[in-house]
Amino acid sequence: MRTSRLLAPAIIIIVLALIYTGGASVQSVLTLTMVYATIGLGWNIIGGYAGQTSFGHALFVGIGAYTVVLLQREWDVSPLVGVWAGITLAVLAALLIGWPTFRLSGVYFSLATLAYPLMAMPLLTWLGLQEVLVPYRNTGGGFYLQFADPRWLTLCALALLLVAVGISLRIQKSDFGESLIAIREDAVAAAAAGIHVQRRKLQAYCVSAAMTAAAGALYASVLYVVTPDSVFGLLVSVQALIIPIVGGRGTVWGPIIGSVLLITLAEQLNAELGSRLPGINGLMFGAALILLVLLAREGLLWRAIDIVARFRRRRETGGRPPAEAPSHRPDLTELAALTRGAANAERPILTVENLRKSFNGVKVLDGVDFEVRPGEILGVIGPNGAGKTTLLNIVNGFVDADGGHIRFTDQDVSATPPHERANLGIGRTFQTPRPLPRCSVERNVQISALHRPERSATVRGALRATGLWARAGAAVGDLDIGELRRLELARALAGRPAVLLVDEILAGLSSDQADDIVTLLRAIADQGVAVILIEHTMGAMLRLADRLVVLEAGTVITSGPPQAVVADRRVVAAYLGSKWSSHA
Amino acid sequence: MLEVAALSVKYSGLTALDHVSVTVAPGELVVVVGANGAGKSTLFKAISGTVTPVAGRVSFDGRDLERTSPAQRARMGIAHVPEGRRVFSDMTVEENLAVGAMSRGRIADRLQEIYDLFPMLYEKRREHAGRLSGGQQQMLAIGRGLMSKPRLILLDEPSMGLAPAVVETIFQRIAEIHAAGTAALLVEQRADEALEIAERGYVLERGRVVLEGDGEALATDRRVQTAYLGG
Amino acid sequence: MNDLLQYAISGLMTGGVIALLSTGLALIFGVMGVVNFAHGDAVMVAMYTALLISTGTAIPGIAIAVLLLPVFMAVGWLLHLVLIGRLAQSVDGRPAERDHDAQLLLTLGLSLILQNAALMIFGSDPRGGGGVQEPIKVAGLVLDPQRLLAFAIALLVSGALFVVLNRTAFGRGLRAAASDPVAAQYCGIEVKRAHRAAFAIGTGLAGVGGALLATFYPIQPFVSLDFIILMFAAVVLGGLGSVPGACVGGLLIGLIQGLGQIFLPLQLQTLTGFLVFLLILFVRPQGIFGKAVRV
Repeated sequence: MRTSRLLAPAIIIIVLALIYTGGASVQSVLTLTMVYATIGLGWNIIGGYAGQTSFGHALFVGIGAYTVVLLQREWDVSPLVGVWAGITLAVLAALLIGWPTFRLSGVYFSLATLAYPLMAMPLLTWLGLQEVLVPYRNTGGGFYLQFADPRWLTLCALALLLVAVGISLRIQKSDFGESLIAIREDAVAAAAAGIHVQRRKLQAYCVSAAMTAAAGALYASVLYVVTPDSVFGLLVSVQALIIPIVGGRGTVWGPIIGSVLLITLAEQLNAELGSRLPGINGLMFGAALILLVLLAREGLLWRAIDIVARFRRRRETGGRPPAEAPSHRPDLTELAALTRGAANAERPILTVENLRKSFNGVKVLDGVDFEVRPGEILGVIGPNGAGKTTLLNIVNGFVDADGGHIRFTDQDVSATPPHERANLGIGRTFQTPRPLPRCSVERNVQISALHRPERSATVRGALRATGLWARAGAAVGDLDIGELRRLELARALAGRPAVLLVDEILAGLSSDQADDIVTLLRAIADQGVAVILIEHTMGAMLRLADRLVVLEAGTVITSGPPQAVVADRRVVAAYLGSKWSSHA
Repeated sequence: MLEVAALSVKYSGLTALDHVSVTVAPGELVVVVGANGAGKSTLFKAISGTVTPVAGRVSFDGRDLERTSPAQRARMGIAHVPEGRRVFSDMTVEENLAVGAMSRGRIADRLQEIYDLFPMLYEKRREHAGRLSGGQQQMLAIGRGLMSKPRLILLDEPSMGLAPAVVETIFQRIAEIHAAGTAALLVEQRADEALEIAERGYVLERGRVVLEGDGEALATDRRVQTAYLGG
Repeated sequence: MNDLLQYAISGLMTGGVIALLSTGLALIFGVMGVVNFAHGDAVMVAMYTALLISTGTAIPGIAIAVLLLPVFMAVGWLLHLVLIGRLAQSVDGRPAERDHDAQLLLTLGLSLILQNAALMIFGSDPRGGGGVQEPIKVAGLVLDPQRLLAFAIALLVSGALFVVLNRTAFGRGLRAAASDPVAAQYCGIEVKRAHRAAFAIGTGLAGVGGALLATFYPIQPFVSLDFIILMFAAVVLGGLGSVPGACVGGLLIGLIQGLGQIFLPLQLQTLTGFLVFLLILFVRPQGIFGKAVRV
């Protein structure tokens, strides 16, 4: 956002002015706001970018705070040094609990994260650490973050916040950040694009823990007295998550906005009503959570962005480029560089042997064999429920077969995880396109090309080939269904496939839109890519496929050239019923 | 009894149904056939109320169903046997049937009728529905739909994923149900078996009705094959 | 050896209390699949209410429990109408992960509001928990009559709930709505109403639990944190979808906590419950009696 370039320095100047002029209470509110903004930024890395809602981030706040204070109390270690110990411990904790916990999903994951800091509390009480005072130093206080003038502490908080902002911005722009976002939006598609989901989540958790612990360390200097509840408590965990979510999940400004709104409000309430109504803080945060969930689930910033975008779109409907703009035509010049056509076109590049799969006792696949050669378009047809999508899911690696083998250029990949198969060259489009909703067309394709050499060339080539080059900067919400399907192809192409699995890409398209895709698929195959196509639109299938394989009730009943297959009695029987062929 | 008039349904930019009109008279067995993606399931969802049309109307007994919720439509006498069967897998066969009954009264008689129609269900009555085979689940789903003595039963692709022999049995039962007086609207991919038992039929292609007529006439009409397997 | 047995028995009786508190959650979360973090706070509100009633009048604990049942059912009904029911649930089958997140956030917010409102109204000093009755001595073992009563009521209540869920049309409707909302609609069940009814009943049971708990457990605004995780643990351990399972789960957790006293000092006992919870999640998420769960 261009506006933020001006906004950021302006805000920093305002903050500095406040620090310079403000009295003690202003300093304390400012410091607290910035500490919590940093905690929020820390949470954002795992909860915002990676989309894993941690309900127990107080764990890291507490680790940071307690480590720093204890080190100072026992060994006179300055917080400036102690914070590094805190960070290390926090990262270790993140690794230790992250590894098993990320294997859980949904509510179990959330409840588990909730539990961890709550467990720390009785532990600390038992260790006699229910109340640890920050030891007072009357000399050399500065090094120990005990300043005569509280404004220095505020400056420290500002410095820490700026560091956190810097790190967040770096992450947002990096491959790491993009892979996190891909995981958040669609972990399945991310794996299909070659991203090692577990590893990334763990890495994000560690970075998040480190940042949060650093803030926690500073928080200790603000509190002066560290108790289990004040740093490990449920309210802290809630604040850690509500601040980034309210402001705008997954953005850098979000936690800052959230913290400014919520912390200043909380402190105001506390100051005015705190003595008569203890717990007014907690009440406020509770109410804020409820309002958040019911009204603006992704946060205020996204709400604002969506509203502005809708407004802008309404103004621009007059000037929308016509659908037949020249760049709509595919430009296949760079297509060759995108694909990994195999050298030897005679030997099959993918072989499926005796594949078996049952779900709940139903035999979905019962001994399926076929092979596909480079440059060949193999169509898989068969009545509904015959197991076609399951077949693709198994070839892709998202579903494990009960028996049988898959060989990719002589390598048995039956046990290879999906992201590795993607890296080997097995690419895929999905039946229901799920592009990342708030990213541009180009960004979507970039994420699919994360691990590929010469990324920008790859992205450009993919966009050109699918005729989306002119729409590279467009928002995904503006694309029509034909363009969305082509985007799916572009994403798959960006992975530089040698084998491309295409799942019902033509359903519901107009003849023109379908023609575009048919031409494209043909061109892709001509580059030497093996295409396996599931399609119900028979007309297109007949034009496109070099060979057809017919699946019924989990087995291949016949295969061969399209015209012959379609006229085959068995196929007619499979689709329309056994008595049909006698009528026909 | 059931009248679908010029119904259009759109999903995120896709036109799933385009001005489709279908009628079912009391006691009639009407079949809607078409290839996948033709819009058959969408038609059913619009009739039972889980999908809202952008144009057109669905009426039952002359009453416009626009503001009626799916559960209300069910209680009006429209039973829906959904695609993929959707039995309650953690509940026993008998419990599944009981839920279908919708009434608070004694269901023992009704249960017996269903067990007469599908003897296998009686054998498995205490088994968890999730453990039944595909064909058995289909019979359970149909039985569940019949428990409420519906005026109209909607069957969404009952043959899906089932072996041919089982499909034959299912269609026989459907014919029997029809013979006993219940009106039925059957959506199917397997045109021949469906059209054989139908009084009237419609052929859907890409969201539009491309053919309609008597069951027998359609059963021998070559154009149906074209609509499926292209050309 | 006698010590061991005593620990085990005490643990079992505490387990009975956990079982009682978990029954409502077993319905709301175990059967209907709604993550209600505020369930423990419903218990807390019931405890305070019971305390107020019993200090003003001479009504015994059990009677208050019976009194609070319909009151809290109404409260639950209202809560669902105004708040919980507003969360759109995915139409297709089970709630998606994002739905559970939203439910947890919403009920977490509710929990904070209840806790802090109680703090404002009653202050943070623990109250009640008095009236410790004469313990019963059997075969050299000490039994706490109040916990025993709680256990008995737990059995009664989950038995009743079991009968309702499995032998009545209403109960079948609830289970159908949870199992497959789409198919349930086709069978004439108004799914939202079913959820509302289940939430009402579950909250009513929390009221009963709280009223009984108030007779022997000290009350303070944040008391729910003492046992909310244990309650979820009991439900998960017993197996999602099984109300008697939650009972058994509660007993087991109590037992493990009791036995844990042999090794762990008093202050670390709450930790045992957490550890058991995590262990279940990692090792056997479907619990003892539950259907297979995708974790």
